[in-house]
Amino acid sequence: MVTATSTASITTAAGVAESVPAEGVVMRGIHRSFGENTVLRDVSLHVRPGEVYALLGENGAGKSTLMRILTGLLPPDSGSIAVEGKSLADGGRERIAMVHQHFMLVPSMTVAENFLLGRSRGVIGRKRLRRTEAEIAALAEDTGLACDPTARVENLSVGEQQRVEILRALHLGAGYLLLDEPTANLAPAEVHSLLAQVRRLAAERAVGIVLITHHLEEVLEVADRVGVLRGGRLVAERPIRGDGAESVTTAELARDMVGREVGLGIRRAATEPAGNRMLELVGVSVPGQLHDVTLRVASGQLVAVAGVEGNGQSALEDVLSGLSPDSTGAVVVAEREIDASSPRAMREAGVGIVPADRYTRGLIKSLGIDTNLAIDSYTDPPLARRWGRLSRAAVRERAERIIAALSVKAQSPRTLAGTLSGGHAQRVVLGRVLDGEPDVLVVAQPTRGLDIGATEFVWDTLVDHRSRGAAILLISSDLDEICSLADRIVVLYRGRIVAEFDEGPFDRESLGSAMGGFQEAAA
Amino acid sequence: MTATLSPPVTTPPEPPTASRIRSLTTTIGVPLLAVAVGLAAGGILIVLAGGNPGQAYATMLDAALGGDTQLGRLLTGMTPLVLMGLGYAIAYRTGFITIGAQGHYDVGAITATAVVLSMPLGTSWIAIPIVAVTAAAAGACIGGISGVLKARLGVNEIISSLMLNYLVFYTLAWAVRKPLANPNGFTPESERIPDWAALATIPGTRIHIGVFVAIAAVPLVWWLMRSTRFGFASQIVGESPSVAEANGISVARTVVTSALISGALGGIAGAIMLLGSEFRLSLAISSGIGFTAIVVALLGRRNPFGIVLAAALVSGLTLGSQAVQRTQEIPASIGTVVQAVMILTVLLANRIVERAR
Repeated sequence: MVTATSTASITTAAGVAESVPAEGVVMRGIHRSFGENTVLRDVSLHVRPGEVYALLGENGAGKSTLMRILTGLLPPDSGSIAVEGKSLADGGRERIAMVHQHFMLVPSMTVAENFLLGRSRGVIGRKRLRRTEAEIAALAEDTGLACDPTARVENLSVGEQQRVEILRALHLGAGYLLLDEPTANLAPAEVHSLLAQVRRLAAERAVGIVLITHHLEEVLEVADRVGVLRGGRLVAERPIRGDGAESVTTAELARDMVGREVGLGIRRAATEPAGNRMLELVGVSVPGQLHDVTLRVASGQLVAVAGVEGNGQSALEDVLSGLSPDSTGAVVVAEREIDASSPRAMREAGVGIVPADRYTRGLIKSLGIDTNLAIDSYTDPPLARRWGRLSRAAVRERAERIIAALSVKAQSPRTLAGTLSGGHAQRVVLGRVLDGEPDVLVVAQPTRGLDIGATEFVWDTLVDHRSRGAAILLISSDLDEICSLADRIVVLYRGRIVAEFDEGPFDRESLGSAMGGFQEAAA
Repeated sequence: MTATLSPPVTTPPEPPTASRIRSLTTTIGVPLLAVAVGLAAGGILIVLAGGNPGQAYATMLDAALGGDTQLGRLLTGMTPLVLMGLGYAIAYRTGFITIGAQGHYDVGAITATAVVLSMPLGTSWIAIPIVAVTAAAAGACIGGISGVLKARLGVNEIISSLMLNYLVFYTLAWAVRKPLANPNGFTPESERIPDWAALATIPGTRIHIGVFVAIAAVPLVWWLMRSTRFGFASQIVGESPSVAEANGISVARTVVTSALISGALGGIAGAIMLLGSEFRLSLAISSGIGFTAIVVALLGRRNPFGIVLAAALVSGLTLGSQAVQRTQEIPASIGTVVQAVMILTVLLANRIVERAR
C-alpha cells in the first residue's frame, strides 16, 4: 500500500491520510507555485490502468505543470504521487512516459536507432539493432500501431512519428502514457485513427492514458473519464463510459472549462453605435493555417477573435503584422486596400500591432527601454535626422514621455527591458504602439502571463483607445478577457471562422462549444 | 515525495549608478585582468626558456615605446589592426561574425599594387584617393559576398568568409607570379611601387598618413555605432533579428551594409600597409594579420577606443618579442602565446561575469 516516504509532510484535501490504491497513478493534494503565482492548488487525481483519462483546461489552467510534476521534471511544493504504490524516485517514474507535442526523435536516424538512443553505451551492434527492429515489429503488430522500424524518421509523416513515440514509450516498459495535445498537428483522418488506437491500447494492453486536449469532441469520442482544470484546481471530474457514466454534453464541459464567473467586470463600449469600417479582412487565407477569413472592425469597436491557441491565431497575427508573404485575400484599412506585405507598410497604413510573443517580436531584453521604444520609429522625425543620423536626445525624450504616460516602473529610460516584470514589459510594448495613436490596433494575447493588476491595466488601456475611436481586433484565447471587452466575437477553429456572436452578454457555453469545434451549438 | 522550494529571492533593485559602475568595472577590469594573466603566463615561459622576465619585459617596453623610431613602428603596426578591428566590431554588432579580415586586407593590397603599377598617375595626390576607393571597393566586394550569402541564403558567415580568405590568398599567389610579377625578381613578388605612390610620412619618422586615417576612423566608427540610424538598426538586428523583422527593420540590408563596411575597412588597411610599409606585393603580406585584428577587437571589447588600446598592446607585444628574440635568444612566439592567453582570459572572464548576473 502507501509508501512511508515522508508521509508526515503530505497534506491531502481532507487532511487525513487515506489508503492509496496500489494500482494506477495516484496524485494527492498537489500544490505548486512559482513565486507568488500559484499554478496548482490541491489537485488530486487517479488514473487507472486501462483507462483513458482526458484532462481538459484552458491555456494556463495548469495542465502542463501537472504533467511536468507527474513525469518528475518538476517537484511539487506539497502533495504525493504514487505509481502502482511506488513513488517516482522508487521506480515509479519508469512506468510513466510522456509523448510531447513536439517529438523527441532524431530525424536522420531510423526508428530502431531512435529506440536505442541513450539506452546503450558505445557503438550499437548490428545484432542489437536487428533484435530491436524485430521487437518493434512485434510490438507494432501487437498494438496495431503500424510502423516500419527501418524507416528513417525524417521520411515519416507527423502521425507516423507520433506512433513511433508511443511505441517507444511502450517499448521502454511504460504502463501509463501522457499524451500532450496529440491531435494538434494531425490531419483530420489521422485524428480518428489515433483516437481509435488510443482506445485499443487502453482496452487490450491495459495502458492507462492521460489525454491532454482542448477539443471537446475528442474527449467524448475516446475518454472514460474527464477531469477539468481551471485556475489550477480540478473543478470537475465526470465519468463518461463504464460504471456510473453520466451523459455529458460538450456544453457542460465547456462550462466547466471556462467557468461562469466574470473575472474583472465587463467593460463594453458606451452605447454609441460603432463608426465607419476601419479594418476589413476579405477572404484572407494562409495555406494550411487560415481559410477564407472575412471580418470587419469599425472605429470605436472591439472585435475579439476567440479560440483555443493553435487554430490559426498566429497566422492571423502574421497577416496583420505584414509578416505573411504567402497570404491571399485583401486587407482593407479605412476603405482602402493596403499592401500587407511588410511590417512597415502596415505601420504606415495606421495599423499598430501588440504581438502575442512579447520577447521574440516586441522587446529585446538585453537593450534599454529607450532603445526598445525607438525600434519602430527611429526612421521617422524627430528621432531621425538628416544624413542618416539618429537623435539620441529625441530617443530619450520619447522614452521618458511613454514611460510617464504608461507609468512604467523603471529607474531610468536606460534600464534594461529584461529587468521589467511581465506587466511592465507589456506596458512598454503597448506604449510604443499606442504612441502613434494608430487608427487600427491589433492586439494578440495581451495579458498572457500577466497578474490581475497588470491585466486590468491592459484592459483599461484598450478600452480608452476604443473610446478615442480606434478599431481594435483582439486575438485572445482567454474567454474572460473576450467576454469582458468585446463588442463582437468571432470564433476561430482550425483556421476558419466557425461562429460569430454579435451582441452581449455572450453565452459562454455556446462560445466554449464553438471553440471546441461544435458549430451547431453556435448562436 | 515532498519537495519544498525556498521562497524566490527578490533582490532589491539597485540604483542605476551602481549598475553603471559595475558594467564599467567589467569593461575595464576584464581586459586588465587578461593583460595581467597573459603577461604572467609569458613570464613563466620566459623563465622556462632560460630568460629573465623582468629584463625581457623591459626590452619589450623599450622596443615598443623607447624612442621616435620605435614609436613610429608601433603606430604603423597598429594602423591595420585598428582598421580591421573596427571592421570586425561593426560586423559583430550586427550579429555578423566574419573572420574575413585577412581576405579583405589581401585584396586591398593586391588592388593597391595593381592600381599604382598599371596607372601612370605620377603623383600621390591623385593616386592616393584612387587607391583608397578601389581598395575599399575590392574589400567591400569580398565582405559583401559573405553578407549577401548570409542575408539571402542563410550561409554561415564564418565558413564563407574563411573560404573567401583562401580564394583571395591564392589569387594573391597567382598575381605575384603572373600579372604583377617582378620580371627581374627570383621570388614571387611584384615590382617595388614607384616612389610617387608611397604614402607621405612625417619628415624624419616612419609615421605615414595611413596612421592618421586609422586615427580618424576611430571616432567616426564610434559615431556610426552610436548616433546613426544604421548603428541603431545594427544593434537591433544583432540582438534579435526576429524583433527587427517584426518592426520593419530589414535584417538583410543591415547585415549586408555592415559586411560591406567591414570589408572596406579591411581593404583600406591592406592598401595602407602596401603603400606605407611594404612597398611591394609578396606572399609575406598575407601573414595572418587579419586574425590578429580579431584578437584586437575581442581584447578591446569591440569598443572603438578599446580597440586602439588593444592594438597598441598587441602591436607592442609583437615588436617587443622580436626584440627579445634578437637580444636574449628567447623565441618571439612567446608574444603569440601571451596574446592567446589574454584572449582565453577575456572569453573566460566574460562568461563568468555573465553567469554572475
